[in-house]
Amino acid sequence: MKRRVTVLDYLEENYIEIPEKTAVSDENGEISWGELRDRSRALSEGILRKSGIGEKKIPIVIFMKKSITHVIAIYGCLYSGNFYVPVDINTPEARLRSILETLKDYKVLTDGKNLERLKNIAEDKDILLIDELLSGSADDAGFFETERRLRSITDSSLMYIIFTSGSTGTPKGVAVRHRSVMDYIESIMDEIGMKREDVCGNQTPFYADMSLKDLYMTLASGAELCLIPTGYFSFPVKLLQYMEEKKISFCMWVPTVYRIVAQFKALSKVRPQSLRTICFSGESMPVSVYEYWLENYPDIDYWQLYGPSEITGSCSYYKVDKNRKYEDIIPIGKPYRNTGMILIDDGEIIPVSDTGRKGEICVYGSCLAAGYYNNEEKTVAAFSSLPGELGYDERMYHTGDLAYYDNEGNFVFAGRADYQIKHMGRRMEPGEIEAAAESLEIIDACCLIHNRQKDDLILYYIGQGSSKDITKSLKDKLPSYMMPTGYRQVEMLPLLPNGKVNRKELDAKENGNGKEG
Amino acid sequence: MREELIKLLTGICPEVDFENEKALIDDGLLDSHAVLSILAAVSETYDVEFEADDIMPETLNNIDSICILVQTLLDRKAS
Repeated sequence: MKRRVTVLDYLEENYIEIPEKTAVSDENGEISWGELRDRSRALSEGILRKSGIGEKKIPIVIFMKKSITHVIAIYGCLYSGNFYVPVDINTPEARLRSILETLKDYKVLTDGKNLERLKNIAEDKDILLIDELLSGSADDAGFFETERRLRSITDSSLMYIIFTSGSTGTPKGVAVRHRSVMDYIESIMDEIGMKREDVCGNQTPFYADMSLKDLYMTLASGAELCLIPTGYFSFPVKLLQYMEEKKISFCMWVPTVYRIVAQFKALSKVRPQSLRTICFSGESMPVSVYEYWLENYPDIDYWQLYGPSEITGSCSYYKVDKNRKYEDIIPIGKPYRNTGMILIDDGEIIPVSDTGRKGEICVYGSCLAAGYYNNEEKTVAAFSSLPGELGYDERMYHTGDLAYYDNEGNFVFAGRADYQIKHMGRRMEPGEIEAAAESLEIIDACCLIHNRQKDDLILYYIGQGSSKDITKSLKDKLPSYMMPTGYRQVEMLPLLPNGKVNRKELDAKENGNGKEG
Repeated sequence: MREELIKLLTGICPEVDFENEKALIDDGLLDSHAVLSILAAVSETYDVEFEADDIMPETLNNIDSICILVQTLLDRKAS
């Protein structure tokens, strides 16, 4: 068996085995694996010819809308031996400046449509226009230069940087090596798998690492990556019609999107026929939303995945047991093979047999990011040594997430350590209260906010129930000190660009603009 | 109702010219967040409920189509 070192090895295999098959499609068209490989190599040659980066390996910011061209941009950067930095084109100017300052030595790859937004932010000499780079004619010298650069990549070379929001407001660039992505893709293909005939309906933006599985599972399997137009995710019927038209069989979306479909009961209008696998990650899947989908699709597979950007995609997976009735929450399961995942409480590793005891999720293995780019201080703070005297360097990432073990040894998510609330003198997790509330049929989605001045627990919720009904049902599920003390019924919860609930916005509503806590 | 709706929607998305824009969705002037916020505001202001197929790009594409949608919802509620 030929050894694969980077994701490009998969692309070269698809180029030989299935050159005519559709690789990526968007609302404007499609591209085959053969064309994708050729265009990506052409872009690499253009980058190497025109950017003047010499022997260095630098970050290349990809600044364009999600599209087939964006996918070419990713592979083109990788073929050129550099690493890519996908950035949201709607990033506010101040944040974009902060990202570029963090990167220091960089190029920005963009298209004509987004060039204007970069004026006065990036210097002309650092901007690469993709159309210009792709228009150059291929020659032997360019081909060999790409080959030479490719040979210089090892699995410890950086593959990408994804920026996450830092608690101080300065974005942190999570820098990830090729081997972490290869490890992730091989693991997830082993467990969940994707078939060549699958069509993966992509929702997550490329600037979020949740999209890694969409991009690279389709690459590893030769399946089609169908980029669903972003706008469709606010129109449930339109979204389902598009899925039907494109014969989408595989969805890996954030729970919010599944929830919008459930909230408007859209599957009673259109029920796409090809769907066979659903994964959810990014935040906890409300049990009531899962049950709505299960009712409509009793025969397909459901998977919950968990993992922050710093461990590359996801580190644990759980195949939802369709015969089991979940009370409040669906477990996040067990770590992939070759991934270490433990719970730490007060510096001590919690044994799996100690069910119910909460600790911080800590992760080690090849999946760990190299660190935060150009930010040693934050890297040292988040990545430490594994407890115990190992006699060698084994790094571990502190996720800041809490979990406990259930009777089957599954990890069960229990909220963010830093969202912990102190209410009436007792520590609690909003996630636990939210999970209990979302398990009620009368609540579709919710977010618990602590009003710190009044020490009130305010439940923002979407649903049909009155506060009286909710209180009545929740009393059976929560201890009295965890019961919400106020309710705000809303039609929608504010969302972040990645589809997660914008907790900070609600917190600011309750508490003004002070720090969340 | 038209003027009232323009005022309501401008309160949510002050940068959008609801009076004159003809393709709010097709031109990408309203993102997912804006759409969901508009649905929430309309639902609250007029005390109406949306069904799945009420929420389509073409029904929210300009102020005239939004007016028709709200009227339809009000009629449905009354009937």
